[in-house]
Amino acid sequence: MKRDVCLRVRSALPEKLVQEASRRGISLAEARRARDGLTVCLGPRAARRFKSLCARYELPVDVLRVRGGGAMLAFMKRRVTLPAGVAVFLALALLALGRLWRVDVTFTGTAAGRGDAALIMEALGALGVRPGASRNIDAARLSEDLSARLPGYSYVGARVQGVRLLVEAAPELDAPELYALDDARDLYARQDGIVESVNVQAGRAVVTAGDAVRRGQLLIRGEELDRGDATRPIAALGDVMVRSWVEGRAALPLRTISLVSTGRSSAASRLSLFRWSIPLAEGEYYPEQRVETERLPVGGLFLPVEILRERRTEVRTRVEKADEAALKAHLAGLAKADARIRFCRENPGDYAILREWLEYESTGDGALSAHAVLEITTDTAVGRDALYQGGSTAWKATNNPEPRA
Amino acid sequence: MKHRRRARGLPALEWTEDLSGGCARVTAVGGRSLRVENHTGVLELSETRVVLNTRRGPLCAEGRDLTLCDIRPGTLVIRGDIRRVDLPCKGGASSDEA
Repeated sequence: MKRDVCLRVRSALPEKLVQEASRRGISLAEARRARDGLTVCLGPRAARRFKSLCARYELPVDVLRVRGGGAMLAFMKRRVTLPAGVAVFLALALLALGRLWRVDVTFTGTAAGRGDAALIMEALGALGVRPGASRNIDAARLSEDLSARLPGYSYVGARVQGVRLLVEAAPELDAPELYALDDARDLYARQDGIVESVNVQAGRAVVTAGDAVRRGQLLIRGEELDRGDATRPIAALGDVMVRSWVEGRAALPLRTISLVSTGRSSAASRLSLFRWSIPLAEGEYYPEQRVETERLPVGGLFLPVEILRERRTEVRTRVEKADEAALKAHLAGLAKADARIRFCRENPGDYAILREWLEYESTGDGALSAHAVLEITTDTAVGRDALYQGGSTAWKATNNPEPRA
Repeated sequence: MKHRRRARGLPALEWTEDLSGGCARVTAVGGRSLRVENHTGVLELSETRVVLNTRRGPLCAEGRDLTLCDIRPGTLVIRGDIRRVDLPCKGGASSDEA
């Protein structure tokens, strides 16, 4: 039995009313005695008949609740523009969902750190793929086009996820160490240091452990005995571990400048749409102030109307002495990082830190300076080309023949 | 009175009244629901007491939060916490506590 409509009838004799409704064939789903009458729940058709019955006996009826299909129909009749609004909303939603909203680029692989997102976005822009473009994209074709345009990547894949285009790219790895056995060459020191050990795999060592070597000094000569005392040129191969030192410096002021709130603040707001704005409330300006801006969207998705609320807090500058222990700890990290950067910039190979020293001194301009010295051990033997190009171990052996020294 | 006298004189004929459908039927489901068929009207309705009229006299149900449900001509269901039902009888009221 339907109970979509709930009515409250003010009547002194609700029993008679129930009896009369039952006699007339009006089916009541529920009848409950209320304080000043009767509360009934019944179907829509029975509700109409029950109301007419109450009207006949001049009994006041209050509608407590209406639900179901009839209520929905009445709601739609009251709001005739709602279907048009829903249709417009659906059309706009379909239009918006047919476009790309975001284009994201991620990098994978062991060389992910070398990825250049701006370069990929530029390539996507040249192909006409940008936020706002159609979502109907042939992802496989786009992947091939990107692979052709981006030479430094071993893999480029694109896929559409809803309104988001995700481009995954894997920057290519360095070519493995290759060298031609027939191309004769020597190995030289790429940096100053004291030789710790010499491991010759091909050629003849010209330094021993304990020797001090300078950058560019010959370490392993690429030759071997041929017949008798004669020698023939070969490609030298081996490791020469040296102990070396690198320095780094960092300085920070001994006094810190902080902004302290005075307690005075003001608020201002304005209504904004694109470039236009209407001030709603003018706040007070201070000579030194901190401004926090809050955006409150008003129009929602389709109309970017928003209220920009600014909260200005008056501040004053306070100069304080810095915590020396914390400052030294910070400086130590900076100085060591500076030393590592200096070393890696000139010697891109692997290295291990053996010891480190730190010294602090106050400078004349009110700053504290830290001087870090790192003792490291590293393989310093590289070919001549690598020596010219910065000492990368990837160039330790190369296919390019080099003239004998 | 004539009918009552005849029934008292011929108890075996009581089943004819049941067959004719004039006798009230009361079906109780636990203490929460009481279905009454063949009643002839609602005499009293409150949250604690419902009295229905039948051909043999008033049928009374007492309890808490009593509500009439599925009200159709001659049939309804009393729902709520039913504590006591007084069934109609020829000689007088008899009681049956739930």
